[in-house]
Amino acid sequence: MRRARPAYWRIVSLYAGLAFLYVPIAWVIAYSFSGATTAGVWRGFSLKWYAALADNDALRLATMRSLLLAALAATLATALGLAAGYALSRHSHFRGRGSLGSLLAIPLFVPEILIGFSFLMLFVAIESVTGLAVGKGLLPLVVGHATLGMPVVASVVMARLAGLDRSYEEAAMDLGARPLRVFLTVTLPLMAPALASGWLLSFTLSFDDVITSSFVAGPAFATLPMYIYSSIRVGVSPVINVLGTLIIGGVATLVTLAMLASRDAAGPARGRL
Amino acid sequence: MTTAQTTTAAVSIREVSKAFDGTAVLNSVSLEIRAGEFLALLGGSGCGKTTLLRIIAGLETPDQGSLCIGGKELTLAPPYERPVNMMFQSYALFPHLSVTENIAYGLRAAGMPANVRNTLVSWALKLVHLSALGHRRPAQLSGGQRQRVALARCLVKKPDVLLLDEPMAALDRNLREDMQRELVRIQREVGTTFVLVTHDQDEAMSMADRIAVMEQGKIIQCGSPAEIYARPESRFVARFLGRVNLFEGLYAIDAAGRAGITTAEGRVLHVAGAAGMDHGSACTGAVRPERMVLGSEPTGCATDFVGTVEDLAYFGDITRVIVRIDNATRIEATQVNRTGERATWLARGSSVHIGCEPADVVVLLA
Repeated sequence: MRRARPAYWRIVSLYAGLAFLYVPIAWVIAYSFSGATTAGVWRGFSLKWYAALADNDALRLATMRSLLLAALAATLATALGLAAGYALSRHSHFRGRGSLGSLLAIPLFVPEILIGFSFLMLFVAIESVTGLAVGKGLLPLVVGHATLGMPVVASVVMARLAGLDRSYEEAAMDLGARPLRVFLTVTLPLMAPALASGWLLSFTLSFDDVITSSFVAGPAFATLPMYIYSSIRVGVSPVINVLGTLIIGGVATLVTLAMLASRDAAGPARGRL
Repeated sequence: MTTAQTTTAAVSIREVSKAFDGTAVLNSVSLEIRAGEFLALLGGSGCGKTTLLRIIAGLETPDQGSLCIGGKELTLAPPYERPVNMMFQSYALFPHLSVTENIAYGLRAAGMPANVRNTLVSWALKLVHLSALGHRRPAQLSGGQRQRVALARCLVKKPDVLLLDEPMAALDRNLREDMQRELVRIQREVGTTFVLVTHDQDEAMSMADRIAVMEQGKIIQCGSPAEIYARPESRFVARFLGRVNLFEGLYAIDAAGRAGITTAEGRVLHVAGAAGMDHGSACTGAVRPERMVLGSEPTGCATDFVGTVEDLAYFGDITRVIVRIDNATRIEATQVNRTGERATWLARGSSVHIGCEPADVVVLLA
């Protein structure tokens, strides 16, 4: 048998592409171990900025806030996106289904700055009418960020349901399960990989969001991206490199977990015959 | 005379019609399914057999007509309120649950306590010979094992009627015959009414007590396999179940009072008198290949044609012989190979006599 010659240019282009993606990230990781007082300058190996991060209460608080916010927003987005996606793909005969489907996708293409601005206007209006201070803090951020994630979750859910043989749900009903039980014991577990990836996507969208946050977060509730963004204006501290490294580590772990989970769940769910 | 208990139909379908997007799929279908019988709904693709099955299961609702199961009117009842279970063509085993959990699913939905559940699940596993594989996931099973799990999952519910949608479609050929016998064994053992949907006439013939042949949304004939094979009521049924020679012509009674069909070529196929058939009306005579008699000399049958052997196909147990009696007419005959060697007079191109008796001819309208 003739062995195929390796196509060197393919390997070169692969590494060039990977370098394009990962050199900036590697840069951040490398310089998190620098002893210099300015980010981007190498002055010997040191862990002092890791220690500095541990002491920086404002940064730690902003990180905790962002994690909490991202988790809440992702959960809300997943719940709403699941409901919308399920209704649109499993109840195919109701009025306005087509236009509702399009309405769900439009926020994906609207400039985020408009979404952020319209949330600001909405919360101001609610506050002026009801007198409730809804326009500040965690609640508006969760609502605003869930808006970013929900269409994504809905489309992931719809894609999964479209590929899911209806006979699973029919079999469950045939075996005596009422619709709610069918949904909880069959539909939902079979959609778990889609929900997990939808949740993770929403989490990421929320975690690195600056624009919507800038409009709806009060000054007292700065998220991590807002903190980093504003700190750049007064000079970048190497602490940001450290934080970046930790975040990259966390994301890499989550992505690996998500891939493992979806591989386990998707294998049998494909229903090999 | 049957007793009062057995005269109650397990399922009675009355004038059920169904259309999808304006296309009629079922056209006023009526059918009584007897308790304890193994009924096959047989037909080609698009004949409405699966839709009829899904209507019995409650997965579709009929546009018109009514449906009674066990004497109860359940036309519009949802699937989870019917004493029937369905085995899906894809088996639809829940991939995230083990074999045991799959089988227990319906019992759990019925709110059965754990100890009763466990007893029933082990009974079902034993019934389908899978006791050792309860902990496995469906993905870890072979096609045949998956089919057994699907069957156990239905039977554990002890339904009044078990519906099977093309159960052999996903199995390879060798496994199919084993599973056909296995299904029949299980049906005898549990005594449940089985309704099988299939497009495979051999499957229907070998498994079912009764066959309902469907075409274009209608049941065109219903009866035991032997009845349907021996006494088809239409050309479609005659052709669909097994092989058949058809002779088109005009019904005629000769001077001696013998009935026959005169073909366009002027040949006469002698038939036993058919009731309700007038002299001169168009009809078709149907003869099964195994009823045709072949010989090097005149066969001595009431009908005897002379022809040339056009083709011979050897199948080990039988030989199919195609005899051309004129340019337009070819007759197929099946010879059982009793001895290892074929008769010397039977060879491609040799001249033979081929005949049949009046009793072997079924007279069909048009």
